[in-house]
Amino acid sequence: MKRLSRRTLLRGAGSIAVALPWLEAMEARAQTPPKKRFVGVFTPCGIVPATWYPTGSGAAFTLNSATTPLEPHKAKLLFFENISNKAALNGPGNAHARGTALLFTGHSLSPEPLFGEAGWNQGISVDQEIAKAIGGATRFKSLEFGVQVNQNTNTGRISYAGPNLPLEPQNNPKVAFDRIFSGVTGGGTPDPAAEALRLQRKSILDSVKADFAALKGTLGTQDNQRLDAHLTSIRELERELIDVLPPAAGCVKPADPATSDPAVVADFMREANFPRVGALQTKLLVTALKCDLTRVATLMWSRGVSLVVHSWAGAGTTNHHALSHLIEDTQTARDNHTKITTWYSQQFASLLAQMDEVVEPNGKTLLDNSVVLWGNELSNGDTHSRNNIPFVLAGSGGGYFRTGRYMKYANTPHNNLLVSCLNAMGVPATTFGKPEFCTGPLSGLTA
Amino acid sequence: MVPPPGKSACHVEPARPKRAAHPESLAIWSVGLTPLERRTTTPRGVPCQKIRRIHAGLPHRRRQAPRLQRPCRGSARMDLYIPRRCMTGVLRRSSILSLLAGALLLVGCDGRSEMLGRGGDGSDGGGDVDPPIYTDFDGGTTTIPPGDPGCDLKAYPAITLEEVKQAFRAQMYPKLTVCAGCHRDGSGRRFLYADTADETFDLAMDVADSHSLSRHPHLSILGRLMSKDPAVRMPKGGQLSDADIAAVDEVTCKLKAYLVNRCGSGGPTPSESPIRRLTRLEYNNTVRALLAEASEPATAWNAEGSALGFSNNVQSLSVSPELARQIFMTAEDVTSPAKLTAAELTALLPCAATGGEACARQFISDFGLRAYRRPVEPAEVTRLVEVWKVGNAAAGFERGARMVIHAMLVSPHFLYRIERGNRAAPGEVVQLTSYEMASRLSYFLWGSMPDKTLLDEAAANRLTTAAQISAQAKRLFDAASPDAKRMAWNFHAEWLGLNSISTLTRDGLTNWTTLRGPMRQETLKLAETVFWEKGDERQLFTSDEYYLTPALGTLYGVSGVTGNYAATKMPPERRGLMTQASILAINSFEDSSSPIHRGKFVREKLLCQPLGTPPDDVPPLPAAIPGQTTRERLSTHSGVAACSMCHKSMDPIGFGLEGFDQVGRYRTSEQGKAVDTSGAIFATMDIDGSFNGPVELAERLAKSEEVGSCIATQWFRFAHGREYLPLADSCSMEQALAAYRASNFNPRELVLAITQSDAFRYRRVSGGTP
Repeated sequence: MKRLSRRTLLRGAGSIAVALPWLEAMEARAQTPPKKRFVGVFTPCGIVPATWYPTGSGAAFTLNSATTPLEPHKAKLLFFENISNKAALNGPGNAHARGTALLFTGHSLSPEPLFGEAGWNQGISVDQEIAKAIGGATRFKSLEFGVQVNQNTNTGRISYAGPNLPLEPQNNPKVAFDRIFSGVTGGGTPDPAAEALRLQRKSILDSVKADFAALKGTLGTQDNQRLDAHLTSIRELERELIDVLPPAAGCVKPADPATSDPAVVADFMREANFPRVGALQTKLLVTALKCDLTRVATLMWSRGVSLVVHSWAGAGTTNHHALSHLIEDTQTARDNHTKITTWYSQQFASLLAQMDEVVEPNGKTLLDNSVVLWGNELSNGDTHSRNNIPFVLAGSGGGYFRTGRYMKYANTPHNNLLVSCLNAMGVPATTFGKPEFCTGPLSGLTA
Repeated sequence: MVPPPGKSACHVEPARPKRAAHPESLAIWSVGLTPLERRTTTPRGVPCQKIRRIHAGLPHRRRQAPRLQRPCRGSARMDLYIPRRCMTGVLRRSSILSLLAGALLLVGCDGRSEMLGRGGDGSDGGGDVDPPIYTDFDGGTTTIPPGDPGCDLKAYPAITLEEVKQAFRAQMYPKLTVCAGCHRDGSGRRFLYADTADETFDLAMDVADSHSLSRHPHLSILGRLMSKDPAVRMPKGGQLSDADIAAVDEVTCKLKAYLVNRCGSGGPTPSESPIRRLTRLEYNNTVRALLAEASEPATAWNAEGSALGFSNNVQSLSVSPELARQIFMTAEDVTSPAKLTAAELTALLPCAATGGEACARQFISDFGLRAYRRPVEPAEVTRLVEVWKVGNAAAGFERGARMVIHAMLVSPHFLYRIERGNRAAPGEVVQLTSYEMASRLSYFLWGSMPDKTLLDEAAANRLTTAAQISAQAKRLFDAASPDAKRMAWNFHAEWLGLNSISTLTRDGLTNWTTLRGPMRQETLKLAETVFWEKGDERQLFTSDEYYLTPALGTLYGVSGVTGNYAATKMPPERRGLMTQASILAINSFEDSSSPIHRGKFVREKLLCQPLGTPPDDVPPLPAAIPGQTTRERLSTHSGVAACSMCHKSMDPIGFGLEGFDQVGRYRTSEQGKAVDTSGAIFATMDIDGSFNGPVELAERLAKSEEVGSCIATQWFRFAHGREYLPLADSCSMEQALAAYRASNFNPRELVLAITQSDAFRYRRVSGGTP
């Protein structure tokens, strides 16, 4: 069934905060096929191979110690053996920069030595490719969340709108909240003042768009690309501020982080607040999906070469990156590093649990209708290996993937996995990232 | 030549050099290891301890038993792991094209060779050969002195680029096939050169002109090609005769001659001028000047990427949807009645609000001239009048005026500096318009929008001649101007990497968190004093006067400091920048000093020689011995060729600063042993050799022309928001350097000279092919 043009309906209504009963009904009918969502999750510094990879294969597999928190979701997961970030094996940049920037892009870094030895990634990331296809139906094409991503270089970005167009993750839950849930009230009649403001903003954005249009093509290639990217952002902003696509029926705004966690919000980059900031961001992310304010999101925990000391995980006083360089040496290091990974598994499990609580009109859960891909900068952090990346895929993408399995491959490029994700989201791609590192979708994944 | 499988031609290793290792380097590199230990820890297949923990910033641990991880040698393929990293920007790109480009372009416009013909390093990762140790940092035996006597530039007074290309085609390209025997990737593809000589040459030029290659210490490829020393010569096995090498040399000499000759003749050779988005800092300054809005509203925006140390690099100023929202909401906020009061708004109006649309038009033109830093075009006025009408209809003239300002503040013409006034075909060189020059001057020298005088001069088209530009530059860049001082302050903070100190942790000081701010401040105060008062950049390295708070005085062991940042004479162990607590602490580990990072600081920040980060899989080092000093611990770097390849560039410099711990405190002993501050510096143009202690290091840095030209390069990057491009910008750089030298290294003169250079006054029209 074709999508209902909610945008048209709502333009007519001229409303920012709408929850009309009849709309709800039409929404419900519009739900077949289900709305699909994509979430990309990044964590840094690799894993301890001995405690990560499951045993067994196919549907008969047993989780390893670092992923025990995922046990409740096992049937909705896909684990992978020997999917490698081959794009990140060579090329400009160091292992951390490539491992981070190419995780969701499968492309390459610019050789321009902006950050010591390389620049930004040179391709679009999979979340943005998906957002191009499905992001038009919601207020936000995509949302990028960060948890103390404290480096503004290529180890601090996973999402790219295109070559040299990194998308900064928002580290501040309060700022994220204000942006995402602005005007979401859950009901009421249109506010005339808000409507007047909307029209004024529209005239300003129209003028700006005309400025961009007049500049188009008058500059060099790179300048034109920069302006195009900026204009694209203006169009996104227009959707955000002018179209103001409403949240899904039944959307309940989460608690304002400034109210629920004032001390955390006041110092959101402080290491001690890392777990709580992560929890707040996860909650905002899930609510944004649930409310259908976006269908694509990424969540970046720390950054490549994370220097976070995970004292709350009982992982000692050595920072994550430093610890990763000791795992080939001592059992203590392996234990502590595993504790960090286990902690991240808990956070990932919490994300999945929150998504799995939301029952959607097609009777499935939000998680079922989503593809959630968790990837890592590296596999073995000590050797900086980008082979056998510890990916976990959760949710079946509305029944596209047959989950509950441990899939084994033979040093297969992870670009193939990214293609599978695109296909699951309804994007008919056959290749993604650098073509030489892609041979098409992964075999054997679909239902 | 295709090597047979297994034992490739490149591993027909000539006999080890007979000459003794340089005694100086041995002294530096073998501390803590007896000759016997050196032998037992560096046979082929080295049993080693990992040094990755050093790269990871870990406190050092003692190991019980060394771990045999893998030999400290690469496998048969050169591109595997060892030398690649260290050859920043060269091999890292997996293309020897770029390597060739680097070799071709190691020249400056003054004709001095910047080629660093130090011998090789003996650690090419070439396979199961016994790595020659200590042949790599002899620091003198294969030096090609400045001036490059092998290249007589006068021999080619009028050579053209086409002739250089011909020479390359005939003399150099055929030699490259030899190299492809080893230099190829895993699938057997050569990665040395393109299919045709012309293509290779053009690619090499492209690479050279896109990236900073010209100053890297490991661009010794040409040195290796040309070396008479069989231990370091490339290619291995003597495939190139002396005659071949001479032929290669001649090609590079011709290219140097071409680059030198073209400067000063045939018109300016600027680069393209990319559009530049205002940084958060520039935005804050601009709205302060434009609207008297002092709240620095852009500070809360998503941060720009930090590239080459600077926040104004055009590559890192893209606008994401979230940033677009922040920009929009800030504009809405600063034009709201709460921030821009009715009285303030009225003061901006050139006419009475009762004038209606006519007044709105006049306001758009008048205010727009300042906001867009040029006259507003008629079509733009029309668009903005439409915006005004919407506000006027809703809530009257004032609302319309606020909306006009809001619209301007989110327009690309406000947010970017766009230079396209003088039109010409792509590739042509044009001068900047007076209005464009006004913005270049104000944003470079003040980090803010042009003031009234600049706009008036631009309106009269009086910013075109060198004299006109010079007069305005001198007016703006004056010690009495807080804008100028703020801008120079910001430059130094970013160049020297001082802003990072606010997030760092260092052991050993209970008041670290309160002292780190003053540490940064103190260094910036020194830089400011040198810049504006002393007028001699060399004093940045040699000054015996610091600007201390009482707490800093305590740290330095100087008594009687009163007041804040009071000028204080320092004891003899402290001189200039390099012995200030900020620099020493930032470039340390958490719990110990780091000669590595201190050396890296000198290489990257003061010599403009980027080193990159450690390789993916760093080979292990010999086991540490309990009770070792920092210096002894790092001496293990010298025993492994793969380590010394990079660390020879850093550690020996940092050893000279071992008299200071991780928070910059002076010390004379460590681990119960007297501190050894003998150091050495290699692979520079003019300050190679051994030295003892920080003062001698400071004196060297102060006298180095290479350091001086690096400082000019840093200013160039800051001025243009992009990397210095060797091919396109070398003449402009030479113009600025000449003035800098002539002024006895007065940094203000350098900055003023940059505004006089071709790169600043002209631009190459960008766009597709004409």
